[in-house]
Amino acid sequence: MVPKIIKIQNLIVSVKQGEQSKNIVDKVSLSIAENSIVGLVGGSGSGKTTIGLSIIRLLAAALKIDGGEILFEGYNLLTYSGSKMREIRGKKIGMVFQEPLYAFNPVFRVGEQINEVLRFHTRLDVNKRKAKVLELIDMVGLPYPDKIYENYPHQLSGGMRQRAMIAQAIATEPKLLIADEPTSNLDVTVQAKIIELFQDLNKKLNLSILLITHDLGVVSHLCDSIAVMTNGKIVETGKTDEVMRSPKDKYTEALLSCS
Amino acid sequence: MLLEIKNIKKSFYQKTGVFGENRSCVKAVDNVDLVINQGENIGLVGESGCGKTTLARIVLRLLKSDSGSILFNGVDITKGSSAKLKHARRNMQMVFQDPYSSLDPRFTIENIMEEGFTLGKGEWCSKSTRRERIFETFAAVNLNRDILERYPHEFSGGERQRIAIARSLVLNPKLLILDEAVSSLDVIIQKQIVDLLADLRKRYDLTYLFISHNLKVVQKICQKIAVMYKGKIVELASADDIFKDPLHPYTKELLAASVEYRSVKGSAKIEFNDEMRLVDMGRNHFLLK
Repeated sequence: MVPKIIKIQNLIVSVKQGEQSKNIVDKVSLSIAENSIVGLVGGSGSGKTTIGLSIIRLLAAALKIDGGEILFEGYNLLTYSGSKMREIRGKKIGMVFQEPLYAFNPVFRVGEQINEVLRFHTRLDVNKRKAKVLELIDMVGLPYPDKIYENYPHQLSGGMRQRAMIAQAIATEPKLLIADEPTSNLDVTVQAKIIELFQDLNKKLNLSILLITHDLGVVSHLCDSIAVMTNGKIVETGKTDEVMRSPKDKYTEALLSCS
Repeated sequence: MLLEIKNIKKSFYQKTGVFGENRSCVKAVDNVDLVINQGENIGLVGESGCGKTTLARIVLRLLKSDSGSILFNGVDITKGSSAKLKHARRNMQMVFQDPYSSLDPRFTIENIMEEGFTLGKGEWCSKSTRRERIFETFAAVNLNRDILERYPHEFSGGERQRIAIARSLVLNPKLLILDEAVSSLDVIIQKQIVDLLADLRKRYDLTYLFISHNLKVVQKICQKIAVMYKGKIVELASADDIFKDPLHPYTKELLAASVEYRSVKGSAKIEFNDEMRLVDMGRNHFLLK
């Protein structure tokens, strides 16, 4: 039995609509083995992103976790206080958000924003931090790290911003990376490069990745196992090639026939 | 021949330097020739920034080209005042990428659908005829009749894109330019819209210029594919030939990325000069040489 990095059990997230409340994540259980890449697939509005945000406890105020537990290294993240959660978030669990233009602060330089993660989570001094940031920028395959460091987010292209955000997410060498639609807004050529980068990071840093996407093509090339989600429920899980070859659920079949 | 694009060029100038004293020039569309016949379905693929959308905007004359001409039904639409273009514009419509920003949030669906009718001078028709025409289009794109009073924000992404398609079809155009029309939708909705587009094409004898960076989607819709790179069309052939026998290094790179999710550095060595032209390599397979 491979040790699990994270174990989600019977997670329920609800949103209040007037008097009633509706479960948008309904008793979801999902676990990610160490060193593996898991794909969470589903249509828009199926609750994929909500699960990702629940793990790092960044849910919008309207959403409430109503039950279940999220075990990370044996401890339930849902019982952590805000300050304790901040120590985990960004340090042990990194997140790559869907829209890189909005995830960066427009008035700070890209390098400074990557640096900020290190300033908060490590005891490195100024010079070492800067060296590390340049190393990270280089590692995600961006050209001229010195120049990128000084650039503002709007000066980078979509693919470059995405890479910069990945650099930021892996700065503290987290155990788990949650990547929410990291390639959906990108060109296919850039997408291929990001996929290769993820494979590389998975091997080099022993990074586990939860890949949230609606694109089964990406999942089939990158992920070891896959969980298919619709209407807040996980309808099928399994090894990627098994699920792709012989889907058991109707929704998975529909999804496969579309891509 | 419905549309003939001849030697179209468009450059954008950018001010650089501290006081904007230097100007650098980006050739967005560089000497592009393309012929689209009635009923034909052409896919225009390439990475972002390669000039696909600029070309589409020039075809609709939302942008003026620097040089070259575009014949639509035999009429040169790059010349003459925009008032004269009104007739031609009726016959070519565009569906934009993002259905969240291409529908005016303060317009009801009725306003959105009716707006097209108010633009064509001298082709006035009665309200009941307009209504009839709107309902006919709604039926074609599988929308309910009772949505007229509602606003765009009340609809999901897929529904909005249907509304955008209905809006473009309501005047019975001949040419439909679809600029990344399915890219922002999730795969299941994407499939529905792709099927819908195929169905509409048969029903109304439409001609599509389908712009996308996703070769897989283009393959489902188009018989012919033009690959664009840095403002030039580098390869033009039937969809089958592009997929089975790609000739240009950039086409190969694009195929590897979208089908096998592999990054191949094919474009690194590509250099252009002004003498390059599209050459027929046999079986109507054109390559920039």
